[in-house]
Amino acid sequence: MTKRKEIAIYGKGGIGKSTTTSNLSVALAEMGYKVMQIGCDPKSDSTNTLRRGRFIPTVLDTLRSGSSDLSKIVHEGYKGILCVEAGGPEPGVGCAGRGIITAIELLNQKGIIEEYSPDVVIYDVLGDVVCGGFAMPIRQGVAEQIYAVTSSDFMSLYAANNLFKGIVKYANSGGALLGGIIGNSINKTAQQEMINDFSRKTGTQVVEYVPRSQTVTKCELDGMTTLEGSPKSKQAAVYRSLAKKIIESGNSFVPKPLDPEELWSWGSTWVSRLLGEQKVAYEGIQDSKGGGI
Amino acid sequence: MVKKVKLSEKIVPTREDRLGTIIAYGGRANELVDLAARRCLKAQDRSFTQTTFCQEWLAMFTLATITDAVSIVHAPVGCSSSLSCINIFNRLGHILRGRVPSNARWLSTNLLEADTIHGGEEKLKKAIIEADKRYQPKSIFVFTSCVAGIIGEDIDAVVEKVQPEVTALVVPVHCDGFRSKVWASGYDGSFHGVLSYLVKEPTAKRDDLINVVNPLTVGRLDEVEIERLLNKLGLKANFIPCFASTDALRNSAEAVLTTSLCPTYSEYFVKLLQERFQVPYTQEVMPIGLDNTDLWLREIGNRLGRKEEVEKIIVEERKRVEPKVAELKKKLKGKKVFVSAGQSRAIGIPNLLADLGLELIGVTAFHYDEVISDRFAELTKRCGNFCTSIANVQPFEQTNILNREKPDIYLGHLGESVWAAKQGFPTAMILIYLCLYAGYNGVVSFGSRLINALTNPAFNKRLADHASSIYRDTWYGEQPFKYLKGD
Ligand SMILES: Nc1ncnc2c1ncn2[C@@H]1O[C@H](COP(=O)(O)OP(=O)(O)O)[C@@H](O)[C@H]1O
Ligand code: SF4
Ligand SMILES: [Mg+2]
Repeated sequence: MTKRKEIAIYGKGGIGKSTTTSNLSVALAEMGYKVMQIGCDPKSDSTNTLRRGRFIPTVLDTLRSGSSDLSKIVHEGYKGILCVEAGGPEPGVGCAGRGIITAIELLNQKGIIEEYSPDVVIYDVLGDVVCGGFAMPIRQGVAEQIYAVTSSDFMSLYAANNLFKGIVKYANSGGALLGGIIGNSINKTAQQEMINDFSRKTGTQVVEYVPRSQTVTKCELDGMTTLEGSPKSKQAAVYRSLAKKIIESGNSFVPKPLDPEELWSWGSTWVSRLLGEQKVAYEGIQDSKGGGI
Repeated sequence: MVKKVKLSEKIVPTREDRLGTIIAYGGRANELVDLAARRCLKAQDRSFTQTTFCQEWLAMFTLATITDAVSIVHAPVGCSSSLSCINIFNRLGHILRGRVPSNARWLSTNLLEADTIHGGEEKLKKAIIEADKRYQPKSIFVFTSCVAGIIGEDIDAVVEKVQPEVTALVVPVHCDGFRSKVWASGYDGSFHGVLSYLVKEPTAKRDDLINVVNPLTVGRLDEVEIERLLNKLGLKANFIPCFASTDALRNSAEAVLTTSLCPTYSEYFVKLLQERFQVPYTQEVMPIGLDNTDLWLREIGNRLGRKEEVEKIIVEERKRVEPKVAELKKKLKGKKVFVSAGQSRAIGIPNLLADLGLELIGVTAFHYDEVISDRFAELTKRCGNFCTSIANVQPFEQTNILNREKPDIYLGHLGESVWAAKQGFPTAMILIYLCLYAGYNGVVSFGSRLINALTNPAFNKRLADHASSIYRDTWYGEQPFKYLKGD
């Protein structure tokens, strides 16, 4: 591989970023790439399923201990994936955003990425783009492509829309562009259609729909990614397909985020449609019979 | 517009919020008076501004000279850089009080990169314990900063937690630099801490004790003059907070009255001391100039029910100094003067100058609000429609104004007079510990200083001949208030 590919995965907390990222890393490693996964979340659990659930010392812990020796922060996980956790403050103190800035600066200054020279670097970044710190991987010179993980939950799409705003802000100054949307926990057609509609409205594209699957949960309980724990499963195949699309895709977008009012009214029409479908699924009630929801 | 102050709040609202303070205005005095009277004064800002002070400076300036206290600055180390300047005042102040000069004592928690991420509360706790052990102070003041504020350090909680472990009384002072553009907000943060954590419920009231709230920039010589006048009324002056002991602050609720040598400085403290401990106050004006000193004394007389005694003192003092003032006036009459000062002094000094017959052609006040609006209106009645600029130290505007107004003499603070000097104008500083300004003697003392400056203009002239031009010539062709913009 000639040029290193650096991407960042964003999305609302708990939406499945780390699960998706870790499976993506394994899929890429299976294809022969040298992958480094950098968790940018104070929870420091991004790479856990690559190491049977074990935690590793973080970049910021190392800095805090007064050491400038960052040689111990890169840990090999499953299939030789290079695992790094940025770390962050305890809940309720300090500043996590500043933590991300510092961790990424340190990794650069100390030449850590250069030293290991991975083919692919994936940043797994906590949550919404709430401040400059969380936008760090978007800015010039860090990742070149951003992927938004979202379910069909309105708040999750709201977070994706905020991410798009962050991308637009830096798009003209050499910042990262959007690679696409990854739909996660998508089992119904209506959910797919909603995300599809969102991508159309924002001028972006959906890379993959990842279904919600018990296999993921089971493997996670064993401290493994789906690709390690259940390599032949249907779910594993979905992650492999995602990896292939991401590594081959050259498409990048400057997204067109919706303004809040537009987003709300768009969201409310979809939510009532999804609720309607749910009612049919659970209660066998058709809209015409039930009436007046 | 004006919010009521409440001691129950952890953090005092800024002066912009509480008093509608403005920091930018340019025009004639009458216009400002009119706008203020009609409540049409807009909070303007500058689209270009030069470096100015941060409120943390003023918060530290308020408490750093307390003799048995230690200051802890919870900040990156740079935020305490101004303490070395405060320390010059501190050492000088000790000398003028006949004490052996000693350094102000301060520690910085030296917040580093890692602390801004993980929080610095542990470090602060350690610093408090260390300060207590190292210096055995009676009080410890903890000053916040931008970094502490941005990462949300809960210094009140740290103070509460650590208090049982130390002997000193620990006082949090909220003064994050970015919170207010009006640096005087820093005074309020300090006094709020003092009122909430130090001042005790009085065990007895003392009807001979009067609190005199005095900023660090009004010197010991002024205090001596004020003490002399108060002694005539049989009152003992408790000068607080600068150079006072922790106990002097703790016992301030015992006083019969609180008065002030600078209303801008004391504004919040005296109101809250009254609200909480029922100590009445006066803070109309700085006792600078004959009329203002009369007024200052009368206010005290009224509050204490001792009007006649005060009138007697006024007559006595006037009789003594008026002949001297008349002498000075002969030499100073008609000289055109420009004054730049903090807002209370910007009223006081011009009144003193008017006593001496000078012609006021312009005033720059660092900020403007209801604390001085009435007095400012009166000043226009006495001194006419002079050029008025409200600026938190903006030399580029100042030099342009002076270039137009061409005063015979310029009066400003330490760092400001140097600009006027480079322009060749005779200058006299309004803050110098070795000159007296306050009270009746202050008029005579400052008057002779002015004559000195006016009769020895050669140095500044030479300086102007040889100094390179401060700004480009084109700037002097522009309007001085070009960079003021509406909200
Ligand atoms: N496609 C999926 N199917 C089933 N469970 C999932 C799926 N994606 C994520 N999860 C589960 O959701 C939880 C949160 O996922 P995680 O990747 O840790 O979220 P994030 O990193 O976005 O905070 C985990 O318990 C994970 O196993
Ligand atoms: S408190 Fe803020 S404005 Fe003040 S010196 Fe520190 S960083 Fe600067
Ligand atoms: Mg995660």
